[in-house]
Amino acid sequence: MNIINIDNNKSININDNVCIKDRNNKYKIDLLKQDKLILIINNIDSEMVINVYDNFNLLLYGNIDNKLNIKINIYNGSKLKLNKITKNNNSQENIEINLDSNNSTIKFNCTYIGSLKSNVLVNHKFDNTTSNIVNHAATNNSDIIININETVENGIKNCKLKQYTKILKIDNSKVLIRPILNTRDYRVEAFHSSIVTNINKDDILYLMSRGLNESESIKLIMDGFIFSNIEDAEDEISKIKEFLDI
Amino acid sequence: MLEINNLNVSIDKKIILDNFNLKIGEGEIHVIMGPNGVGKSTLARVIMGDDTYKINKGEINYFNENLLKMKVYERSRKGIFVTYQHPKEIEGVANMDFLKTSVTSITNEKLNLFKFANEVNALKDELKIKNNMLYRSINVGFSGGEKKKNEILQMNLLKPKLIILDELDSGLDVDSLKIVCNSINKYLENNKNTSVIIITHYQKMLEEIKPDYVHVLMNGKIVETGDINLANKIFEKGFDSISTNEMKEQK
Repeated sequence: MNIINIDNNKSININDNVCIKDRNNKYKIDLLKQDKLILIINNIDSEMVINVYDNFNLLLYGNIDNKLNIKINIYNGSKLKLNKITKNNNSQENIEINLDSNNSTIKFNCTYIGSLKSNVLVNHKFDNTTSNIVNHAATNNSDIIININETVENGIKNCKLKQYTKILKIDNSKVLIRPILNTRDYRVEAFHSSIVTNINKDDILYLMSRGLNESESIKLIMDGFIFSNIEDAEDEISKIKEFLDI
Repeated sequence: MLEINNLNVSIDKKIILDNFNLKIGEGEIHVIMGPNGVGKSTLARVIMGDDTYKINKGEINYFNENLLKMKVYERSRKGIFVTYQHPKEIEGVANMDFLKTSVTSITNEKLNLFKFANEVNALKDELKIKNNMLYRSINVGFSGGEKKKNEILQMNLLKPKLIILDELDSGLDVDSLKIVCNSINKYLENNKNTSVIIITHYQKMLEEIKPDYVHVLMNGKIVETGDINLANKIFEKGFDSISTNEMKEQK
């Protein structure tokens, strides 16, 4: 898989497939031909627009200390498999996904660590579009708000919407999930699930009875939860852990 | 190695163990039998350090150290190992990662990955564990038998000095029971000072692992101690056949 540290590359072309341009202080990425790509989005300083023209497997990760703004447009009935994992420090993430043609599909495994406010917006603009959003967030003494808002526009039919959000915490952190599904057509399949849970004390006891101290046990459970949300990029987990210092 | 004196344990103000006494020497195999709900699993959990239970009085000494002052992980690092009746399922934590972390914590040494992998592979074959079980989340999607085999895999890797088998035989078919018991016997053969407490309801387990002592737990305390003949009597005639002075008094 190609890896680009987007913070260091203002303009790049890989395999005639991926272009990154700096235009009006925006990152514009065109995913033209079926492939896989890793983008390191460490504290990128401006909005990123990703246009998807073919089936693509994209992994994004980095530290976010301030704001992350990403807009994704999916054309040509393409299927985007997107994994994103960010370590946040009182940051705000705004991710807008536009399903811009018939049959466009997004599978979005979105993972957050640390304190943040996140807004995920998914717009179903054409028939037969599919979105499957899985959010995992883990917090240890930090606050998390996740707003996830999916909309099916008037007259758009046969869309499938699925969203699942789970926050794992170990303390009295303030966490909030706002799942919103807006649809103006009845020919829609929609599903959502939101879970906030503390780490199970019996799980900690089980690990401690195998020699791990309490903090080691909690870390193992937290890491397991966080990285279980990464799909088809499991080989990259050790690099991500090292990069994010987890 | 283990000495329990006058132990009184409760949960939610209900007394589970009362005036409980037990002494276990190195290399001894003890069986605890008793009807459901008399506190057999409570005993295992209290020895391991589960703070759900309140210790009202009494003491537990392990190699002359006060066990009750040790945290759960300290007890584990000192060589105490419980195979749980219902091993926990932990989503997202790969079994192999857990095993590596656990062995490193217990040995307090940098793991020799080559040696570790060889040992795990040998145990995997010995216990007839499927390869993918090593890389899946801990116990998630495992059958009852696979979970118990996973417990015995951990036992072998962590090299305990005191093993508590809490109804290991529940959820195991006859063949799997034989496999795990053979593995335990092999471990005991190579670690002669290791002691075992077996909590069981079934004869088959005791045909595979020969006990030195059999204790009957009722009313929160051990009411009778004997050898395998005591277990056989219970298997044949039930717990009603146990008639102690105390029970006579109660009657």
